[in-house]
Amino acid sequence: MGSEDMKPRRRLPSRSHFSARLHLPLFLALLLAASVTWAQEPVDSAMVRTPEPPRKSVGDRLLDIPEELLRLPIRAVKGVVYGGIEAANSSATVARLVENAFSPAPITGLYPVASYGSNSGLVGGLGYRNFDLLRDGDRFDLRGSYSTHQYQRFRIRYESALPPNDHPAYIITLQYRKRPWEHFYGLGNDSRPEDRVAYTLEQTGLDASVRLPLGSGVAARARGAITADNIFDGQADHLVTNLDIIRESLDLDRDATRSTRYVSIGAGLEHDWRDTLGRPTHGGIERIGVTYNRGVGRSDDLEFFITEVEIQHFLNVFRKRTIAARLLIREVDRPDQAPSLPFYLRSGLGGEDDLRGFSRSRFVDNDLALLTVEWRYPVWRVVDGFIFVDEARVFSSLRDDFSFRGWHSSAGIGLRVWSERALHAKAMLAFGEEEPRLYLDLGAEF
Amino acid sequence: MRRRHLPFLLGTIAALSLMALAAGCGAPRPQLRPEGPYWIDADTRDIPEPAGADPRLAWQTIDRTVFNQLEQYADIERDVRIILGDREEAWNINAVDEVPDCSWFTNRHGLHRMSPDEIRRGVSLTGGPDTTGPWTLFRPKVGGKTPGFRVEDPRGKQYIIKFDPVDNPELATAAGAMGARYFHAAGYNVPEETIVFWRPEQLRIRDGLAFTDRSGIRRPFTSQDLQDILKRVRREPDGRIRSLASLALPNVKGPFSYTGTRADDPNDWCRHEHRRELRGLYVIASLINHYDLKDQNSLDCYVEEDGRCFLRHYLIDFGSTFGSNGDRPKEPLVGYANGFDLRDAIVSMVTLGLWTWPWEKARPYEYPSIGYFESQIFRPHKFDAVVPNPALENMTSRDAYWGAKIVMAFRDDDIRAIVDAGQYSDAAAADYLLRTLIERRDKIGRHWFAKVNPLDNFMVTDGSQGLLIAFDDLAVKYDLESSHGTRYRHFLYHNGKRLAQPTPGTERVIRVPDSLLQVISSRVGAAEEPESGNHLVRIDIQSKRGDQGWSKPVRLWLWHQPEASDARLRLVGVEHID
Repeated sequence: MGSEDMKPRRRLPSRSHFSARLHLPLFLALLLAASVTWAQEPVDSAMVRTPEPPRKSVGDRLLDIPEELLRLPIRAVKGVVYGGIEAANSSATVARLVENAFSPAPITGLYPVASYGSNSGLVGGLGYRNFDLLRDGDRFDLRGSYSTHQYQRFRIRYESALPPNDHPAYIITLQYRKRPWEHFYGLGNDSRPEDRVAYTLEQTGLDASVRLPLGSGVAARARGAITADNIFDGQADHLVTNLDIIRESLDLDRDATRSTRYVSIGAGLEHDWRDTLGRPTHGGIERIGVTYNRGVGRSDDLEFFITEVEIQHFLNVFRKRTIAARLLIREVDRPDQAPSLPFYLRSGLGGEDDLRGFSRSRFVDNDLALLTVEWRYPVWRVVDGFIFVDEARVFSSLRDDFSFRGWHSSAGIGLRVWSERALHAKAMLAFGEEEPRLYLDLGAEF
Repeated sequence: MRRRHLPFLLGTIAALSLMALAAGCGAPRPQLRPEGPYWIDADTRDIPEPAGADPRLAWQTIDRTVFNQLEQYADIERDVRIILGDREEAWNINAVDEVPDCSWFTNRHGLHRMSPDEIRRGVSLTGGPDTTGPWTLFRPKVGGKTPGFRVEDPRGKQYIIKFDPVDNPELATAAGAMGARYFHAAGYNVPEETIVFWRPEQLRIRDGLAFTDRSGIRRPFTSQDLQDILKRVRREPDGRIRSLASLALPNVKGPFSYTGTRADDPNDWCRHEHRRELRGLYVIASLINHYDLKDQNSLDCYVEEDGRCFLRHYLIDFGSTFGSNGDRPKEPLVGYANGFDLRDAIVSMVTLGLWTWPWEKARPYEYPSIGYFESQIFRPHKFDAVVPNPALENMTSRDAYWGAKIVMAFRDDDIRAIVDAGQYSDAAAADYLLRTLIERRDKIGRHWFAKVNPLDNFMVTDGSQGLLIAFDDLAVKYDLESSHGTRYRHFLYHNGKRLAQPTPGTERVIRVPDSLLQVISSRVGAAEEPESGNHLVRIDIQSKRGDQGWSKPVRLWLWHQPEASDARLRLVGVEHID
C-alpha cells in the first residue's frame, strides 16, 4: 500500500498516510481477511462509465450487524414520530391547530391551550380566536381547559383594539374557573410548609374595562366587574381539605373562609414605553391602579380596596442581552369596621407570576412586595433564555410593618418563546427554599 | 456477565470498523485506464416510470435535524473515519477527481468556460411566458406566506408565477432568476426561470376552477379570490406586475433525497450523500447563500431523451438565495446556522448569552432589493443549510476544492452577467451585489484552495526534449497568491522507486527528459508481469508559498504508452491529497 504496486484496471490505492497507521499485526491479519471484495468490471468504453454501487467487503457486512442494532431504537422512535405527524396531517383540523399554536403571526381559528402547574397538574384545552370580528383590529377569544387535577377554566374575551394602539379600547371578559387543589399554608410571611391544606375555589366573573390612550404611551384605564367566589372543601386526598378543620388548625375566623359576591370599580394609569411586547429590550412599563370592591347579597358587609403599583424596566446591555427588572407592590385595605377578608382575596405570593420557587399563594397576607431581576439572552431566533432572581415578602401592613428581614428568595432558569406582538410560551425551572418547581405554559397571555 | 461481555463487544466493533476501513469498503476508487478518465456516467438508461413521492416538510425537518443525526452516529465506520480524519471520499468521481456528466450534473462553466452571454441566458427553452396574449390561471396558491399561481400562456406552456415581497421590490424575483443561472452554469439541472412583466388584465381564470380556501373549504375560484391574491402583490408605476415565471417541469416524481438512493430508479447507483456534486454544493451554494438546501427544493423528473426514459434530477426554487428569504429579506443568521441549530442553541444557553455569534454584528441592509447579503462576516466554512444536509455534512476537502474550482471559474464578467439577469432597477444595488459576490468568491477560493494543493489543468505534451507537464496553480491564476513567492517541486516514482531528485522551481511545468523516459521504458519492458501496474508512473507535486512548508501533494498517474503518437506518458489520474 502506498507504493507503486498498481495494477491496471484496479482502483487507485488507499493513501499512504492512512496505511501508516495500520501496523499492528492483528490488524494486518484482519485486513487480509477483509480485503476480499467482489470483483467489479465496468463496461469499458472510451468515455462512458456504467456505474455500479460499490460492493461490500466481508468486514463491512459484519459491521452492519452492530450498526443495525444501534439503529433499532432510533428507528423505533422515528416510526412513532412519523406516525404522529402523518396522523396529525391526516386531519385538517389537527394540522390547523398545530399551525395556529406555533405561528408567530395572529391566525384566526382554533388553537391548543396547554400548561403545567404543581397545583393544577397538566392542563389541556382548546381556544378559538377571531380577529377583525366587529371592527378592524379587534380580537375575540374563546377558550376552555381542563386539567388532570380537575381544574376547569372557561373564558370569553373581546378586545376592541390590541396594543399598541392609539384608539380607545374596551375589553369584556366573562370567565368561570374552578380550582379544587388550591393550597393554603395560613396567613403571614412565616407560614410553614407542613401546615399545607387544600381547598376548592370556584370563581365566576364578568369584567369590563376601558383603555383610553392619552399619548406618548400613556393610557388611562377604568374597570368595572362583578365577581362570585365560592369556597368548598378541597379535593387533594393527601391533605387536610375540610374547611372546618382548616379554620381550626390555622386559627381562622369564619369570615376568612366564606364565599363572597362583590362588585369592583377601578381606575388606573399606565405608561408603556417598551420597544416590543413579546421581547422588550429597552423601555419599560409603569402601572398604578386602585380598585374599590363592595360586597353584594350575602356579602354586603364586605368592603376593601386594592392598590397596586408595578414598574418594569428593560435595559439592553448588548445585542439583545437584556436586564429586565420588575417591582410590584400590592396593598389590600379594608375599613376598620369591615369584617376580615377571606384569605383568597388577600395578596398571595408564589407561583409562575411572582415568587417562582414556591407554590401558588404560598405566602398570603394583606400586602406584598416583589422585586424580580432577569437576565434575558437570545438562544435561538424566537427563543430567549433567562435566569432570574425573585425577592418577595408579604406584610400584614406594608406601611406599618415594612422590614428588610424575612424576605423570600427564589432563582431559576427558563426559556421564552416570543414574537414581536406577544410572548407565546414560557418554561421555567425555579428553586426556592422548598422543592424545585417546573412551569410550562403554552397559549397563555402574559 | 454484562461487564465481561462489554470489552469483547466494543473490541469486536472496533476491529470490524478497522477491517471495513482497511478494505476501503463503500469508497470505490476511480478506475485508472490507458484511455484516460471516464467523462460520462451511463445513468440515463431506459427505466420503467417510477411512482411519485411527496414527503412532508415537517417530517423532513425533524428527520434531518434529529433522527438522521442520530443514525449518523450509529454508522460506526463513519465515526471511526471522522476520528481518524479520513472521511470517505465521494463515490462518483472519475480518475481525475472530477464528476462525469450524468443525470444529476453536466460539466459546464467549471470545465468548459461559458461566455457571459450564455451564463446570462441560462436555461432558455421557451424564453419565458408569452405576454402578448391571455394567461389562463389553472392553479392558485392560497395558503403559504407568499402569493402565487400557475398559468398557461397562449402557447400552452405552463409556468409557476412568483412575486416579490411588497416592501422589497425585485428581491425574490431577482434572486430566483440569478440563482437559476448560477446553478445552471455551475452544472446543475434547473428549470427555466424568467423575470416577466405583465398586466393583471391578461389573466383569465380557467372555467370551473375549484380550490380549497384558507378555511379548508373546497369551492369555485372566483375573480374576487384572484383580486385578493393580487392585493398582496406590488405593482410597477405603470400598473404592470414584475414576477418570476418558472417553467413547470414535466412529469415530476417528487423531490430527490440528499441521502440514500431511490429504490424505484435502477439508474440511481450512488448514495446521494456520496455524490460529489451534492457534497460540493456546500461550497457552490455558499457563494450566493443558498441556505434552503432541503429535499423539498429538488425534483426528480421522468424525462424522455433519445428514445430513453429516465429520471433527471433538478435543483429548484432559488427565491431564498442572495439576500432574499422568499417572502422577506434574510435575517443575518440565515446561512450561518441551521433553521434550528441545537448545537448553537446549547452554546448560547450554556454561556448565558455571553457568547456572541458573528452574524449578531450584522448591520441593517442598505438596499431593499438586495436584502441582507454581505461579505464581511462571511466565512466560507461556516455556511450552514436550513436543515442538516447529509451530503453537505459528508463533504471532504477534495469535494470542497472541486466546488471552489467551479466558484472561482466565475470571473468578474461572469458574475456581472448573473447580476444582470436580476434586472435591478437600481444600478447602485446591482454594483453592491457584484462587489459582494466578488469578495465572497475570493474568500471561498482563498479558504478552500488552502485545504488541498490547488494545482490543476494538467497538460501533457511530448516534445523532442522529452515530456512536458504544464499545470495551473489556481491560487496564483486567480490572484489569491503571489506567483513570485510560490515554488514547486515534484517526485517521480515507478514501481515504488523514486527515479529523479526534486528540483524546486517557480515554473509551473514538469520536464521529464528523454533519458528518464528511456529508463521508465526499460523498467516497464523488464517487468515479469506486464499487467501488474508497471505501466503506471506516479508524480507527486508539492507547492511552497513564502515561508510556509511544502504542501500536501497533487498526485498524477501517467500511463506508459511508448507506441502512442501523442505522448509516451498519458495522464490517466489526478488526486488532490488532503
